[in-house]
Amino acid sequence: MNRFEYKQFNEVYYEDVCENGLKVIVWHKPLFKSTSCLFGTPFGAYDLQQITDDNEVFKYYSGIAHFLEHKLFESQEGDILSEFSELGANVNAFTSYQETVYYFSTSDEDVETPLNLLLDFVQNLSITEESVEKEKGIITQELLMYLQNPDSRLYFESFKSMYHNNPLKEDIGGSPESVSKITKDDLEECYNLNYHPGNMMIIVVTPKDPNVIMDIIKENQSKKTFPKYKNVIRQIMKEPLEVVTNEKIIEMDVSETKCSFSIKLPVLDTSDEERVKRDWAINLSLQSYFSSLNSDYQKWIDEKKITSYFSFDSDIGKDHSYIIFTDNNDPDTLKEFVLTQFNNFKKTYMSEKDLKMLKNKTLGYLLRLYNNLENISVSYFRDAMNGVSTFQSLNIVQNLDVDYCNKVIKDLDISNNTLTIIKSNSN
Amino acid sequence: MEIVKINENVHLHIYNTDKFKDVSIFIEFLDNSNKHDQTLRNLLALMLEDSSSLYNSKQAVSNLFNKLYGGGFSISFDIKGCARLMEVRSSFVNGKYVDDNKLLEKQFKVINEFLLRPLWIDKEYPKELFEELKEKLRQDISVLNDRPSSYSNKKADLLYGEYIGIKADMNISDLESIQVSDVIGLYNEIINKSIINIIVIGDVDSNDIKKFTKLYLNFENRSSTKEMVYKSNRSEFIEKEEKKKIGQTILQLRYKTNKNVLDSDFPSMIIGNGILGTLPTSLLFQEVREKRSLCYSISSIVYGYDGIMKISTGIDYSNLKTVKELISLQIDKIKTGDYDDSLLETTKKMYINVYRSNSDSAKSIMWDEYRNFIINDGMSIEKMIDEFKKVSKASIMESFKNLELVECYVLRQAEENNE
Repeated sequence: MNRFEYKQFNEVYYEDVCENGLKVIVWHKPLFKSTSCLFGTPFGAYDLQQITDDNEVFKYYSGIAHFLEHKLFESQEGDILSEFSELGANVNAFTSYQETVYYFSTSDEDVETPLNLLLDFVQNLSITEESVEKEKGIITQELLMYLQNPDSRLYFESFKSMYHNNPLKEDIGGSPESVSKITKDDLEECYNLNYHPGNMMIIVVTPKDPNVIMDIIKENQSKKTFPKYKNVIRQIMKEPLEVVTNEKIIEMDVSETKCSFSIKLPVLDTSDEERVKRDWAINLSLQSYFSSLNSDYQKWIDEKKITSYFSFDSDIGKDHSYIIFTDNNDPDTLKEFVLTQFNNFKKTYMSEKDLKMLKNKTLGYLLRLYNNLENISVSYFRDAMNGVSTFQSLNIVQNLDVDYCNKVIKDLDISNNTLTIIKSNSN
Repeated sequence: MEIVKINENVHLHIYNTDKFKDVSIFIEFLDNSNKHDQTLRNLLALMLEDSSSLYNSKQAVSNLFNKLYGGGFSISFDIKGCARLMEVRSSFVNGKYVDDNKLLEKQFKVINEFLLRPLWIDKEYPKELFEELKEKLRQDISVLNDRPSSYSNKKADLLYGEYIGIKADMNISDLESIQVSDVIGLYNEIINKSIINIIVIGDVDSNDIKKFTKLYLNFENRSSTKEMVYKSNRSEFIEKEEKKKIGQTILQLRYKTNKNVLDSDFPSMIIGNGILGTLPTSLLFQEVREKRSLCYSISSIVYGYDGIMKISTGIDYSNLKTVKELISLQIDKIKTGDYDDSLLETTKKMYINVYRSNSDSAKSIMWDEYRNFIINDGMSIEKMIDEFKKVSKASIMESFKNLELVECYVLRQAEENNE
């Protein structure tokens, strides 16, 4: 068991790997009453086409990762949610584009039983054709719930406007149509490929003795047999640089017009560390210019170029790269504002002083993550999926310099962009 | 928790723990006004957060908080039972992690500056800024109204009335007539008359906290009542259906429970509600979602300070009658004890664990301390856990016997989405 310590923050975790390849992290929080466990696979809504080492290609309907998440909560004995409740533990799961994770928390003395239950239910898919059909109704209601929320709809439509082939163009849960086509065999096939311990990770954040937790997990895994690990790689079809459409209008029953101006960036083939560094550089640079840190911010509001709802989100991932500006304002005003100010930004750059302040802010943000057990496990898992350790991520931010940030911004090509509008359907 | 009386109806609570990386300071202002002025109160919150006498621009405010490691100062207005609460919340990283032993005092200074030295203290409040913040609040209200779940919840609460109706009553038409003087009047009323509790949670020296409180948050004596709990007395049944161009129908039900947190069998009502609709094992979740796939989520929530229970779910309109009948059937099961003993034991265990884990969150620690201080019902976490252990089917039946459906509100999907 390897021990890692971040002395400045008084945080310690341990890392080990089971014989079957399962990576185990035990993060020790001796002062807390609760334990939080997360069991995750890097299989998410992104994975609509995969290829194995022996060149076998698998294709899935969109929404399959999310569907699988729903169905894993079923067992021959009953349903898993109830079994956790009987132990006094809260269990849940989520699917994102990049991953599917299952997690529980408990303040009960007994951590061993729910921990074994988590390992057992995720490592045993037990479904029937009837139960798969029944789940489609529940998932359809869930999809409708998100679709009628203007905020989530705006994001979803922005991705659809940007991407031709990238799975970001599909909702994480798929569509009622794609969900209706998913079969028991599809679910079993993609489960067998993507839920092997060799590509999964379990993270336990706990006040309990890390050695005891590690032993529980190793013992659990030693009793199970798995087929030989088959390395599987996500296949993303080549994505053109251009967006799908330059403008899209969606009508909904809303009183407030919402819009996004999305910039599609090329995906660069770099190391994980360089990509994470670039991601932070873009994020902090945008914060320095497109926020109230900028002395012009008040003027922009006064001149109605932006509203107080103006915000942005950037993500420089392995398979996608974008910046999305959103506002509840006139869409053309938003577009003109972003294009004009981005060009100004490339001429002015971020100052040393602003970068130092933003580093302070980020340090505070990252420190506060350690107040919450679930935040620790989720951020560790996400960092690991991103190819960096959680403490490495902090060091990357602390070592950023303005010259690097300014060069990244200067080199950004913002010409591939699209405007998405959600407006009232009352007229 | 150390409690220090600063002045009449002004108390300081210090909870020392090095569990958290930050120091959280909460200041709770309580009054019992029954005015429909939530819009005015929320505008006050925006004005206090936006600027202060010294930090009089958005840029100055951003620079300040970024330098201070993303420390925060926020104000929110809530209603718990009949208590109108203004909550000031500030969380700063503990100085020991960033080598700054003055950070705690800076935190108190920031609260003093933004709370007690607002922009209007020594000059006229800028008209443009006032209009800008009114516009922001107008958008906040519109955005909430555009989300079918929050819109339906708001409409159902407004229809219900009482204090949940006051809480829901944020509307754009009120904004038009609000003047700066109205906001300042409300501010003075709250700062000078509300009863005040300051709760500090973190790895701190209590002598420092007392010293800084005296220096920066030295509120004067005040004589006020401090009510938080009432029992809803709505009598006649209300039913309303409204159409919206959305893809899913939302059903909102409101019940009068005739029980509140001060009733000795209230822990039974909490467990009974857990059996009914807060957990994955709950009857509503199992019967409506799991067995029949009629919804994605369904829940029941008890408002123990008001004596109200809410049930809400998103469904297809064609299933409305079935879902209403199913909900009614599950409530009957609670009233007659018609469920497995194991469900009772599971629910008790879940709630005991949830209460035990409250000490892992600064916000929960604060609320447990504050509600106990105000209500003084002796329901510490430990006591509540003991009470949960005693709950039986019979005590749940007793606590639910006077539960009464008094409102059914339906936000109906438009016909074209129903085809």
